[in-house]
Amino acid sequence: MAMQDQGISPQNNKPKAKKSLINDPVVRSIFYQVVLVAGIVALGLFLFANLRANLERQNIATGFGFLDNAAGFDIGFKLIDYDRSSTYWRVLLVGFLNTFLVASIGIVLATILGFSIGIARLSSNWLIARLATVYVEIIRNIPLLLQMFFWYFGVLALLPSNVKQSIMLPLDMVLNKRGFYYPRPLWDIPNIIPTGLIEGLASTGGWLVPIAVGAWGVWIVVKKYMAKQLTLITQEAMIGLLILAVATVILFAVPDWWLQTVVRNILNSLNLVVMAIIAAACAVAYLRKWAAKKLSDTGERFPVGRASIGIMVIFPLLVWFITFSKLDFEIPVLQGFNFKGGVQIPPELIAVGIALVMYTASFIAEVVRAGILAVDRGQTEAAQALGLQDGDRLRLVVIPQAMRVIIPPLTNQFLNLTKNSTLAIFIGYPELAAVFTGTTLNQTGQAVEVMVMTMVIYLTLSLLTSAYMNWYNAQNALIER
Amino acid sequence: MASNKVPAGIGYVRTEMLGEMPPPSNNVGPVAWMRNNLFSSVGNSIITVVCIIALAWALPNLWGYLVSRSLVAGEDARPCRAEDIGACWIYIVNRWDFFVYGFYPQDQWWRPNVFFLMGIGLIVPLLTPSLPYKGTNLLLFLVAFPVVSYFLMAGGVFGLSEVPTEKWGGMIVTIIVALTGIVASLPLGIVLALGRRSNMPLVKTACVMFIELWRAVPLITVLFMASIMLPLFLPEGTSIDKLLRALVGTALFSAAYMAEVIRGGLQAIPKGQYEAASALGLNYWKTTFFISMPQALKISIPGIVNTFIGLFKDTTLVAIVGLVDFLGAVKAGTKSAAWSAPSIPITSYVFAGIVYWIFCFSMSRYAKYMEDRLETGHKN
Repeated sequence: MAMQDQGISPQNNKPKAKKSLINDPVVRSIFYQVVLVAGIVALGLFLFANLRANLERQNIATGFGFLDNAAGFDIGFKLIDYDRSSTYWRVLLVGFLNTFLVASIGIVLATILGFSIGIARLSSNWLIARLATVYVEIIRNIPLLLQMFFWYFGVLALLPSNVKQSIMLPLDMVLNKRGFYYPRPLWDIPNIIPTGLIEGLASTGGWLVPIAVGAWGVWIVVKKYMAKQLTLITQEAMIGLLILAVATVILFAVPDWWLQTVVRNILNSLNLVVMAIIAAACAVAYLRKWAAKKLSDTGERFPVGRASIGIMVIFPLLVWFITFSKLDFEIPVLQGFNFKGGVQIPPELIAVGIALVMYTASFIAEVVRAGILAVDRGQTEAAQALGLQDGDRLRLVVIPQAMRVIIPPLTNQFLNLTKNSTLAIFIGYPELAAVFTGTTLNQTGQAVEVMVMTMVIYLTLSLLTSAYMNWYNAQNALIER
Repeated sequence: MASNKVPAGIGYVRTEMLGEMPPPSNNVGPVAWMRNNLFSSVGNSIITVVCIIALAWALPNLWGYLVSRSLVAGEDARPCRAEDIGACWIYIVNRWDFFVYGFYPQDQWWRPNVFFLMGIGLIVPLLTPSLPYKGTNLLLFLVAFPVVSYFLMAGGVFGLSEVPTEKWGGMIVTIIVALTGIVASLPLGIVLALGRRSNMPLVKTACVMFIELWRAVPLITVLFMASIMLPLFLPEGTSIDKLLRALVGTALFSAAYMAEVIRGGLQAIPKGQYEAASALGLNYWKTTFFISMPQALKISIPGIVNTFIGLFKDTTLVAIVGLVDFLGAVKAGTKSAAWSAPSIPITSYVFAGIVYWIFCFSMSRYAKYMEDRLETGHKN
């Protein structure tokens, strides 16, 4: 097409007959694409036909109706009520929450450990720098599964199996082969949101939340379209449509009690002290903004750090004492053949946690080291020349620039950790892949439905992570000439 | 020279240079090194002392457990059940053959041995930059090697007895899964990377979706899918064995990662290379295969090796479809009654860890070496 537009120029006035259709790049490109699409469609039809024939032959039901059936198997570790008569929907939720639990604990601890080791690798102390290097080089070159086996079958299996010989730790904590027990905190804090309101919001929240999320997804696409940035396929459009699709699925397919449970639990946990903490966090955010404005307007400094810590500690404590809140502990005690009371962390979770944290930390340490090394030495020297103190130099010059490099690969490591938590299936921690893709699939035989749902869940997580990374990069990209 | 003109009687200027004084004793030698690197500040001194105490506790214990209190010679696990015994290497020594060959019949062990040697004989020259005939070598590795290895290992032709894949195990399975992953994912990754950089919107969309889908899901789910869905998608009566299912899963999975590595390499090729190729009148395929791809592959060698390290570590997951890989072979015996002793699980995982570590660490050193080599070789 482009050739025809330039038809005015003299050399293109030659007769068209000389140009063979086979050599026209546009014709070729259309031809290749038609062939590709035809190939994909043919392959898809072939596979689909086989699938249907095989499913019919094996008498496997299709459709998502099975999700409302009773699961009939037990799950060893769960965060919400579950028994054999619960539905497969509940199995999915239990698995998802278990994955969420191990991923969030893992992400927090791996970040702390990874940052410490990454900074230690750059330490001027020769010994600790060498030790950190040895740690990174050993841990990241050994398969994660092997490390899980080591902790679970090797180390934790050595714990006393006789409950009477349990290792009693300080602060009423207990360790034995059945897990780690610690006192359960029992908070007694007044809740000012009336129960009626919570129930009302929960029942409406069941459909308000997905509609709001869906609208957000539409907004992402519309915004791109208005800015005329929407070409055939962009990642933003894909993410927006995916959010919309997930919201629609949640609105129409997922049972109402899912969201109701979530909304109710969140609202119930909003007691006065939690509210005070949220209010204090908002106040701190405002204070930081105000102090930054004051610094740029007048040059006067305000001790934000000390003031923030003061607000974050004093205000919730004040609310605590004014409302006469109480905190008791339910201590694990030996009754018969087991410990009763307190919180029990099963050994599977401990092993998965240790392995995931140690393994991911070795990668995070490398990310952190690379990020700090990426900050030019001239930046430090310029800051020194401006007379910034050591703390300010790190806080205002080095760390912000290092974080710009660190955050994207760090988010990627968080995603890897979440995906790696599926390895827990090998030692029997009941996370999403184990209870849903494993047991549920085995029992129902509905491979297609189960696999599609699993893949959609992980795909959503992954696309949301990359959406966040793109957003962060757009916010923090260096603006160059 | 100037000193010669100093008038006599003014004696406070030296007429000759003094010899060099030795530096202060706290600025040289081990003492100074320790002052600078271990005790430069109060904080550093505390860290150093804590680390030394921790090492002084850990290293002798580790040595005791792994070496001095360990048992090497023996027939079974009985000596290891005694009190205060360290690592039980007896288990490793006795089951070594199983770790390497799995259930492969003992009189046919020469076949896996030839397979291992062939692999080494092709990979080492491929990875040594100074050796010639890289193209032929790559072609042999990607085409001839898999075909020859398949007939060699599975048998049934040329008078070789047939060995079903159920009998393959241990290191054989680990190496086969890892090598298939790399052999299949390299060409597939090249195709996907080219597709993703294509100007044709439908080709690009298809490749992006393929790559992103596989990269988004965990390998476990991919293996689940390969083992359960693959038979459903094939025509009735097609039987496809466990090993092949796992191989298809890992190949597709690693192809997506490989595609991204190669795309990174293609993006790093300066635009001038493409312009020079068009100026010479080369078409797309000639430009790709003679100009951009050789350069892109060369600069993505570190990335390819790193992907391969990840793939090698991930081979342990094939246990989910019921294959016995090296880790599985090491683990298998620890559950049997004959080999039950408190220290055997730890010993076997430490041993397996050392084996995997040697493979992965040497590959990562190689990637680092290539990175340093390319650092000076490709500046534009």
